[in-house]
Amino acid sequence: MNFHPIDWVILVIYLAGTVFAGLRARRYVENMEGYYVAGRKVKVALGSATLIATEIGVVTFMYFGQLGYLTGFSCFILGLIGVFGYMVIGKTGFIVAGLRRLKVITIPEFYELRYNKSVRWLGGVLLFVGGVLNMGVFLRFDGIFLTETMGLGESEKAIVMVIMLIIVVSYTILGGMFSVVITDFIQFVVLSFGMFIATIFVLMKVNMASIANTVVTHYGKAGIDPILNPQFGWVFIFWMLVGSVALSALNQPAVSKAFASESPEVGRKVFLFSGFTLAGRYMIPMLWGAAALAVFGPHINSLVAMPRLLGKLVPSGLLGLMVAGMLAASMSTYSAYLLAWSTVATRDVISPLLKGPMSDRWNVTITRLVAAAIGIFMLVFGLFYQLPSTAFQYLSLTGAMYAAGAFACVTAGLYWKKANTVGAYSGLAFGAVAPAAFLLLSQFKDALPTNLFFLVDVNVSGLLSFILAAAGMVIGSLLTQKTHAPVKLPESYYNNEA
Amino acid sequence: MSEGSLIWIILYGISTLTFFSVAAGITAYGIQDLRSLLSKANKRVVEVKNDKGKS
Repeated sequence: MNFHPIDWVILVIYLAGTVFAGLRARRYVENMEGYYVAGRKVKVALGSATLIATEIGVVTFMYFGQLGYLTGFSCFILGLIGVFGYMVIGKTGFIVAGLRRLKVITIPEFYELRYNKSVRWLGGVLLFVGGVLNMGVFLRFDGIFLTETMGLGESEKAIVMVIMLIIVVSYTILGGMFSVVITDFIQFVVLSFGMFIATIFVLMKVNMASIANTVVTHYGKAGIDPILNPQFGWVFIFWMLVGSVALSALNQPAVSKAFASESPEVGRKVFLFSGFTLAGRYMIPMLWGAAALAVFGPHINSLVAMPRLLGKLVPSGLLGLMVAGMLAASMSTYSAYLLAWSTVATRDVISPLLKGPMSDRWNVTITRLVAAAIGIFMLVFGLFYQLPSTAFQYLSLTGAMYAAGAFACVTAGLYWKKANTVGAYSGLAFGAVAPAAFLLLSQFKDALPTNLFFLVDVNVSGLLSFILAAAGMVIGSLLTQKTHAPVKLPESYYNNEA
Repeated sequence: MSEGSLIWIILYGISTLTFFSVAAGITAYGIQDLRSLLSKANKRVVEVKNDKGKS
């Protein structure tokens, strides 16, 4: 076992502190807006910390580490593409500022304002299903990471997963967004420190020249040029360019941080500052993965290579701090995702099915119950589901399942007067088709005729989802302008009110 | 080391430095923001309690 008593002490102190802070935040929740968006009082630095903490988790370390191990430096292109997405939003306020101005709590609420209640319900279902499938694999990666770095056995993985889940679910359910913001900030500080320790030890113990030589030896030019790499290519890059803007602006757990900000301008700045860190938060774990290739060679399990390297290089004492940092990263991601998806399920899927409006108290109670149910789903899914592609591509594709349709509906809804209900239905449905076909058909890949093989190409499927969603929105709207007149947004949107 | 590798390593260096610098800044300013958020929330909790006491 790599973990020594001092590491355990550090870890237990950190976990106890986080749970205490998270549970204490319960006292600040006095109404629904307090629970869901922390009363919309979050400023730039705190908002940026909580957004970054949400977007960094063990799962991101794992899939970026895996990409670094499997593709060398060529995956670094994703860092640059990611910066592009955040900068578009951070400089212009694209989508995010408009949604914040409308004071929505979830993205499907916008659908009701601009289209109708049924679009909100359909959008809510797609957002929830795509989001929960996306989140389903997080816990499994955490289990692998922690057992590898701490040197625990395979049998302890499930126990690690259950303990993490109980801790996060408990404070998220009780404290809502206040808990999430407070614990995210603590976790941001600890995770940055953990990343710093890991990076220092990787750079001290694995020579950069040897990493570069290993990458070229094993992958040739494909290890450096993303166009030549069979995992990527032009289709992947186009998909990521569109997807980086869409997923950044419409990822409910992330964008809810902009909704919690004290004004649309603060929401935009939160994205701008977070964007500055984006290339780093992608490339840092990617380099850990490439370093694992240099140390272990290309023949070990690509998912365990990076955590095994960190467990080997970081000495006792600091290993406890680093693992606390990684746990911090995961807990902040879980809490934000749990809150976001349970909020969508309650407000956009369950509530519209009821006859009358739901009271604040019932809203929060049902959100808590749904969060607990998602936690149980994550555990079962994480233990049994087998990924059909690399972790990164699976997560991007399940993200595309909701983001493609949402991107078409929200962009057109905010910036195109002719967008109407039929266009919204078509955009949402078409956007989900290609990713859903991929997830289903990849289970029967061998039985497919060769002319349908493109449907199980993860990159084609991802790009196709955005093209189909946009086509559905434009064609559907243009063909039905007379029968389905577009609805105008509320005056508050045009008056530029906070 | 090839030219391509060198370019990626330089970009990695810039990105990593930027990440840790911005993280340090956000930590420093974030503490002030967190204090302000909690003091407002505390104030609100006290107001709500007082209102309940009066009624």
